[in-house]
Amino acid sequence: MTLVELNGATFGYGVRRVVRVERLVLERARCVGVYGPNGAGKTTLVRGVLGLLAPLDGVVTASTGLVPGYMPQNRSLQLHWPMSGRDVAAMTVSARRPFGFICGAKARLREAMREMGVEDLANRRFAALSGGQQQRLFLAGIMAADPNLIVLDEPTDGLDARTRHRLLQQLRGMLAHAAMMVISHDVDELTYVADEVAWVRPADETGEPSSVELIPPRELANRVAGVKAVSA
Amino acid sequence: MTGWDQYVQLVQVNTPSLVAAAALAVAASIVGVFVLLRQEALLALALPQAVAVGAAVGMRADWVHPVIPALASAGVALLVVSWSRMRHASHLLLPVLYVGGLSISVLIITNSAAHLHEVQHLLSGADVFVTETEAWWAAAILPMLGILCAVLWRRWLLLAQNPTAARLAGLHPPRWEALFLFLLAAMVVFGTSTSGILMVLAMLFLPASAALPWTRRIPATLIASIVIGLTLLAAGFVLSVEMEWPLSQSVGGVGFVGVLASHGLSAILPIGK
Repeated sequence: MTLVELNGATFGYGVRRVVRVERLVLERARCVGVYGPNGAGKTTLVRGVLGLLAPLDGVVTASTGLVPGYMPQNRSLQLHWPMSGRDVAAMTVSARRPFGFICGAKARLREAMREMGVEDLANRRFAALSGGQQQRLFLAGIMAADPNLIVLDEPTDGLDARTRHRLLQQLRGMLAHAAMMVISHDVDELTYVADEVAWVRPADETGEPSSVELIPPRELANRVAGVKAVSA
Repeated sequence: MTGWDQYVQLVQVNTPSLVAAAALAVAASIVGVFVLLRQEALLALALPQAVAVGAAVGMRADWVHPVIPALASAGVALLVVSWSRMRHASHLLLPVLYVGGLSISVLIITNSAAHLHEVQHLLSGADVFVTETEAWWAAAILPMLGILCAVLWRRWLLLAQNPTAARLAGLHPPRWEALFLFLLAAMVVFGTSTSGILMVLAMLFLPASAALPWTRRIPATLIASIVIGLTLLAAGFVLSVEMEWPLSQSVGGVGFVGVLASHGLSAILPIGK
């Protein structure tokens, strides 16, 4: 089932064209990775997919029943706020409710936390948890809102190898219910979790927007290895 | 040592001031938690100075309700702040707003003897005159502002941690930002006109700063902050009676020592970690 389709779409800010994508389709049970250097326009592309940016040209078609969920980068969180694990998990659910009240959604939230194995972290201070626990709590919160499009911004950033592997397995598990888009600088991560990769490449000529090429994850690994070999 | 009967008499005589200050303690203790968490302390420091400019204009023009020009000047200050935030330059403008308000409010009223003292009292928080009607208005409005701010705690948390999720849910973060600034400005205007700038600042910063190191959730922080705010007011009142000190400064002094003690103890004790 197609949730979002982009055809010849260019996204940017004002008159500045940042990124152009010829065709990109997000479907349920498929994961698209987003790879590219800093400043290439990955975030702009994702904002366009999520409908937070209108296309400067081209067409973006979104399913009427689209329910997006978004997990920000771990390092963008403001950990000086006093918040428990449950408070963080409840954030996405609270966003869609009047005044942020979560009454009526508590059972679903508990269930999602149980599925992610973080039920016992509900009353712990969020800032005192490990990076992996924090990410799983965030994911539980997203699941509790039952989204059909999940966008994750560098979900395994700063995690050790074991925790990263566990989180990636859980991400694969979440694919049964939704389409997924994962921004990452980690080729191994994208190879494991993504079905195809949107490689965002800055244009050589100044003033031109970055282009997006869709490639299989294995090909990304080969190309990045090739770039590294040439650089060496 | 002052006797119990004398305290009762003092409370009766000062009921309007104390009621207004208690209402301010409740509201400012709540709003102050979010001011500190959102790192808006500089704005909270500058806003009362802008309010003082409006109050000075009202006094100079002999308006019956100086709260109206005070509200207007707070509105203008917020517009300037919002504009500077859009240009990512608020950090350059807020200190200027503070100095400007502090200077201009006195300049407006200079050579107007009685009013000059009134503005100076407003700035220092000493002997701020409040009528019974003003006190009851403050008692009605201030806690409502605080309660509204408290009820929306999950919104403030979401907007701070994941503004993109908020936008995806159809919320408009700049509008919520404007609502928070409105709540802060309204609290500052009503608080300043009934208790003076120093009391507003003391109640905004001290209870929240004392409570935050001990709590792991926002609702608990809000309750602790209110309790600390009211305790500070009571302790400050006793101190002002016993030592014949002005009330706002007494509250500020007790609160300052309390905050230092709170932070020192929290570094040693594991509660709330």
